[in-house]
Amino acid sequence: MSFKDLSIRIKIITLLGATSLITLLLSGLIFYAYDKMQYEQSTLRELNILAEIIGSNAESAIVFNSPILANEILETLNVNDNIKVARIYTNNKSIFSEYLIDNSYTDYNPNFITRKDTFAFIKNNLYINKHIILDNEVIGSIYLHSGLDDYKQRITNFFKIFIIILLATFIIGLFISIWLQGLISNPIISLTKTMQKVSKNGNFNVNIKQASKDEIGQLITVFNTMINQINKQNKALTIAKEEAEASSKIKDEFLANMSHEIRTPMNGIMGMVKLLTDTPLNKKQHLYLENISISAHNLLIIINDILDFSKIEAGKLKIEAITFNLLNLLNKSILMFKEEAKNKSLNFNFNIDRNIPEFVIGDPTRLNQIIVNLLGNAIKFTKQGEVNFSIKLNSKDRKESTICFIIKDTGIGIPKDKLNVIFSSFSQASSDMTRRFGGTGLGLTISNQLANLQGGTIKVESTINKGSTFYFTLTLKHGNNKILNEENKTQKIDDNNILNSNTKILLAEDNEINQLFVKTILKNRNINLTIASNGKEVLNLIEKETFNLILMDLHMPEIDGYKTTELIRNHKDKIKRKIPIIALTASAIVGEKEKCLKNGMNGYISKPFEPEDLLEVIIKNVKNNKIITKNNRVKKPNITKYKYIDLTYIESVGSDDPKFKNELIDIFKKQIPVLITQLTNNLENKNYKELGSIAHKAKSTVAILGITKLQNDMKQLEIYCKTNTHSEEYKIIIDDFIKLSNKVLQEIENVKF
Amino acid sequence: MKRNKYILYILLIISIFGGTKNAMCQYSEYEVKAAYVFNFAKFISWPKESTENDTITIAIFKNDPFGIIIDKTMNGRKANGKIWKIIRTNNKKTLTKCQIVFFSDIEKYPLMQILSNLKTKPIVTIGDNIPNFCQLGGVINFTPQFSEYQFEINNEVAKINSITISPKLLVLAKIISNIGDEF
Repeated sequence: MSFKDLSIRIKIITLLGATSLITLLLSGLIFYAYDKMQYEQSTLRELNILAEIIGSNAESAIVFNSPILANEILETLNVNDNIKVARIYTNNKSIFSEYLIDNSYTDYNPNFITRKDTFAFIKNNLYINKHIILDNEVIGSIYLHSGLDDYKQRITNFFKIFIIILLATFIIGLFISIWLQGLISNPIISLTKTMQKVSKNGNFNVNIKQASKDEIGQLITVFNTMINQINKQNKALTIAKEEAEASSKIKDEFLANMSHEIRTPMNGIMGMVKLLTDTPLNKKQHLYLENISISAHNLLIIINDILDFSKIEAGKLKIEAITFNLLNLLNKSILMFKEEAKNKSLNFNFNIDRNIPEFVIGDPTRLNQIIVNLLGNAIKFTKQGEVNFSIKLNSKDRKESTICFIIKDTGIGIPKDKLNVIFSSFSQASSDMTRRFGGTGLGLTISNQLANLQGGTIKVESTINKGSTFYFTLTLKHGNNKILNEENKTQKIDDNNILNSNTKILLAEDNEINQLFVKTILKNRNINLTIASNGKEVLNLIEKETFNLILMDLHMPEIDGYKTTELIRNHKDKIKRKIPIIALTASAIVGEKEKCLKNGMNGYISKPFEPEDLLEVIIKNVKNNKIITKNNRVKKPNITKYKYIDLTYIESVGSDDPKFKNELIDIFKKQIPVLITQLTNNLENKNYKELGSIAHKAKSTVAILGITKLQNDMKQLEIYCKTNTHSEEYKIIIDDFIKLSNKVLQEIENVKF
Repeated sequence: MKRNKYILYILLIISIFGGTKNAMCQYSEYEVKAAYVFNFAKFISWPKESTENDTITIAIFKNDPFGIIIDKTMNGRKANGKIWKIIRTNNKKTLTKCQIVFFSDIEKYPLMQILSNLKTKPIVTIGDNIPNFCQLGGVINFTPQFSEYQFEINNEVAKINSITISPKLLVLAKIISNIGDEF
């Protein structure tokens, strides 16, 4: 740290200290020089006087030739310790009398004699030579040598005292400067502290006291003015921000309300179409109905897009982290788009890396939404050629996998200058596009934002008229909770047993069209439905009858859904208190679902809904309630949770025919060993063409039991064999097949329908 | 003449500042004594009225042991700013006008008479090795050669005569103070 960076406090103290130190040193030096000069002058004067007196006293001794007297006179010098040597010379320069301070003293300057009166300071010694004049006649000369010993002592004392004074003054000066520097530094330091506080806490509501009217005082005044201005600006900005937020909130609410307003009639349209489809119609009418249905679906998709978009914009969309079967999810969307591609006479190819983990943790709904959007776009914008969907594994470790989803088409492509724009809101590559292909232009924006929320980014490469490639990469943690996923499947299996004519459901709904819609759906299932058009009726009805479930519209006259639910939940009858209540609502406002569940409702279904969705919710809740209320008196369906297999396919093919289902299992049991032998043999013989067709066969066999992993593996093997690539993988894939299929065989050992 | 004077001056200085007695021996007794007389004057002060004409007159009474020597010594030199005048006389009366009177080889009684005449007058009487000169009322008396003191002084007489002798001179002399015995 340089002096420049030190605190102003230290700077001022240092400056004052240094100044006083330098002043003291200088004055000390000057005083020393002055004192030395003074001392020399006075010593010289004294010595001159002494020489004069001695000379004068010795006059008679010289003229009357009495060295004895001269010696006596010189002897008187012994009172002065400084006089080392004294000598009287006669005019012929011979020594007349001599004095030495003591006998051992060596005179270094025995012949210091000149024609004139003279003196010399040499190394702390003063030498003086003076003529003795009697009555205007020079009668001789006197020489004195004085050691300046006391001067040495004096200098030592001087420096001792000087150092004491120096230290004392310095310390006192330091204290004074420490005390006085506050005058300058305190206002600056307090200003600095306040400024730091302001910048740290962002609290602009400060005012520093102005202690003086000097530059610092002015600085403080200016600072206060500045802070006040900032404060005013901040307040103005806060108000503006609040206004903006309020208007944004109004926008959000408007969007939600709009979607609610649209959804209610949509529900009516879709429900009526559904019901109309089941009535006797001619072909033309069927076609029209289908078109109405498609249009309604598309409209719903658009509304959902807008809703999602407003949710994302408001930052209210949350990404779930649940364990799900990734391969199933991919297969479902592949299945869906295979059909669509087929309708447009496009080739739809897919390629799933066989090392993709089956179970991962993430948000399946949102991942599916992205895939569906991208695949939908690919098919939508491709007139001829193909759409390829490949899922590659970029990296994998024990905890997580990085997976790249690539959707490639041979469609119209996107001009280079539009590549950046397509992810922005409400934009398609060109406005012409909107007219030709429809859509809100929100799909990619939503998809990209969903990808962002899951830690990825959608990227695109495209050549106009040749096609586009969209890809994104996600890092997903491995899920190991396989049973969780199986539970959902087993539920579906016993659906049919749960709902029958004994099931009594109460619908609380004021809209007659919706009443009719629900009534028709449940009628087809032989479910007993009672209708109430408001909350009051609901409360009356539950007193008379016992219902298995209530479907509750939230917005009803008299008593609304929330209030009714509250009253039921506080019912004195224990059983009635626990009737499952499912909310029916057209508003997809953020947080409504949570509000319903908090209110004591068991489920939530958003209008417009598909009949399947409604049935699913009903089944789930009725079943749960039956299990709870009847203390498990109803035997749980004898279905074990399977680790490796999925019986959905078998159930759907031979739903009421256990014999057929058992046959299928038997066929599987027989085929597996044969397949294993064939695979191993062909691998050993390197007959890859044959191996490919065996893999094709095996693929359909494992599909019966829904073994997704093996299904993918076999498909991969088939492709590898056909293209004659990745031969190093064959053995690994076949070993996996043997391992897993043996486990499956063990698992299905006891499966009987 | 001028050259002679210069030589004399050097000689005189050498004689006075020779430093050692051996060196002194190079000079005759009366050369030394003449120089001493000259130097005495420097350490003696007379009352103002007695030396008004800026002259120190030295009278050599009757016997003159110096001859030309004293004239050579004093010639052209000043003592305390006064020039020397040397007279030789047998007349007692002339002595009273002088500042210094030099006696050599004189009878006791005439000396006593003269000294008592000169008493209370500002006159320095010098005896040339005259026994009891100071006791008899003389001021300065040369002592015999190789004595402890080269001369003796009776300062009491000097005081009576209103003559001040510098202590510098007194310290070199043997002090005689038996003047009371005489009266």
